[in-house]
Amino acid sequence: MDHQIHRLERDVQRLKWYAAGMTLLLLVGALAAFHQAGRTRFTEIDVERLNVVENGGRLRLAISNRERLSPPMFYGKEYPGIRGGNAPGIAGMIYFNDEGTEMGGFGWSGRQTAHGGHRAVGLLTFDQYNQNEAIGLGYVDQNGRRSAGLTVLDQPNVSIQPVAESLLVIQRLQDGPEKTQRLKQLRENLERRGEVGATRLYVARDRDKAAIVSLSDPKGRERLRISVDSLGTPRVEFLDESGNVTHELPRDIR
Amino acid sequence: MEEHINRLKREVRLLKGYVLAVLLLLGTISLAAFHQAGRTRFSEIDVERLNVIEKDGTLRLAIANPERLPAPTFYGKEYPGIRGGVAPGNPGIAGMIYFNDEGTEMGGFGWSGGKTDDGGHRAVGLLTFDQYNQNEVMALTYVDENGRRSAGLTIYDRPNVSLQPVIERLYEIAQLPDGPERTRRRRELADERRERGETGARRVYAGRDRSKAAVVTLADPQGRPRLRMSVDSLGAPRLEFLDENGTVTRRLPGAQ
Repeated sequence: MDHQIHRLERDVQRLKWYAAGMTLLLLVGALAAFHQAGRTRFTEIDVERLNVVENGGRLRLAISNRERLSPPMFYGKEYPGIRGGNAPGIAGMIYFNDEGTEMGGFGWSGRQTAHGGHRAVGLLTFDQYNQNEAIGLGYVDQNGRRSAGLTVLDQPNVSIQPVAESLLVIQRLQDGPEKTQRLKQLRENLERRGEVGATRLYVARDRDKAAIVSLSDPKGRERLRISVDSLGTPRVEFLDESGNVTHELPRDIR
Repeated sequence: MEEHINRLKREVRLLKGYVLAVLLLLGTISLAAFHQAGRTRFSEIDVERLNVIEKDGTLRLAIANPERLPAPTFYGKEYPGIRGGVAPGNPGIAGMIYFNDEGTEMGGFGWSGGKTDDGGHRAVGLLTFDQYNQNEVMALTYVDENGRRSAGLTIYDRPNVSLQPVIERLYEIAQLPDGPERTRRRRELADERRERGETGARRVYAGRDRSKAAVVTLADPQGRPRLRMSVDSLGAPRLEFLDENGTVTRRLPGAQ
C-alpha cells in the first residue's frame, strides 16, 4: 500500500513538471506566432496568389498564377468572366486604386496551340480612373503574326462600371444569337454616345512588320504616321480626317 | 494517510483538467494552421525569393534578390551561367523573372545601382517581354555608367525559331574552362547565328541616348536605321531618311 502511494506521488510529481514544461512551450509558441504578425522572414516561399492589402483589408495588388488571377473589380465588387482583349489566360498582377477599383495589370502568357502554332501575350497597363487603359505596353503573338509596342489612349470621362454590369449580365447568357445581339447592341450604344476609347499614340513594330510611330486625333483617327515598312522604306505621312494622305515625306520634300 | 491520498487525488484531478485544456488549445491552433493553407495573413513578409506557381507547380513568376533569381529557363529546365548583356539575374540585378504557361522565361523586371570601385556609379532599370521561345521583343531600359546614360523603349524583331538549341550550346560552352577554346566556340556560335539571320533586329528605339540626344529611330527588318527623328544635345531638331548603307538621303530641315 505504502509502496503504491509512493509510486503515485512520484507520478504526480512528474506530471507537474510536464505541465510546467508544456505551459512554457505554449507560451514561447504563442509569442513566436505573435511576432509573425509584425514581420516574418522566409528564405523562399511558393504561393499561388499573393495579395497586398491595406490595413483594413482593401486589396491593392494581387499577384497570382493563371487560375487565381483577380477578376475585374469596381469599388470592391468583383465582375468575374468579363475580362476582354488579350488579358484572359494571363498570369501576373492586377492592381487596384484607393477605392478598390482595378487600375491596371502586368501579365503574361504563352503556349503551344493546336496544329503546332503558338499564342503569346505580354502586357503592362495603367487604367484611366474608373475606365479602360490609358497606357499600355503590349506584345501579342499569334503563330508569329505579332505586334509589340507602346499605346497611349484617351478614354471617355465616364465610369465604365455600368458597362461592366451589363457585361456581367450578358456573359451569363448561353452562347447564341441572343448573346451576340446583346453584345453588339451594347457596343453600338457606347459608340453612339462616344464612350469608346481612342488610341492617340502608338509606337510599335506592328502586325504588318512595320516599325511605326502613329499619332491620332481625339476620335482615334490616325493623322501623322512615321514608319519604316517591312521592305525598309522610310516614310512620314500626314493624313486628313478620312485617312487620305495629304502630305508625304520624303516624296514632298522640295 | 487518508489525507495524503486525498491530496494526491486532488492533484491528479487538477492535472487531468490541465491536460484537457491544453488539448483543446492545441486542437484550435492546429485547425487555424490548417486554415492557413487556404489563405494566410501577414502584416509584413521578408523573403529572399517568392515564387508564384500554378497548382501543378509550374513556376510563373520569381521575385528575388540577385543571388536567388533563376537562370534562363526553357520548359522548366534552367541553364545557369549563360545570361548575357543587361538582364535580371545578372550579378547585382534584383527583381522578377516571369515564365509562360510552359515554364519558359518570358521576360524580366529588374534593377540595380551602386558605387563602383573607381568611385563612379552604375545603375540599371529594365522591364522586358520576350518573344515566344526567343529573346526580348520589347524593353524599357535605363542604363547609367558614371552619368553616361540612356533611357528608352526598344522594340525588336526576333526570328520565328526557338532559342533553346542556342541556349543548349551556350550552356555547353559555359562549362569549358576559361580560355581561347571557349572564346573561339562562342564566336563561332555568334557568327553562325548572324549568318542564318537569327540574331534579330532592333526596329524601334524611342529614348534619350548616350550622346544626350532625344531620338526616335525606326529601322528595317535587318536592323538598319532608315528614319531618325532627333533633337541633339545642342538642341538641334532633325528628321533624317537613310538608305541601306546608313547614308542620309534626305534631311529636314534641309540645308539652306
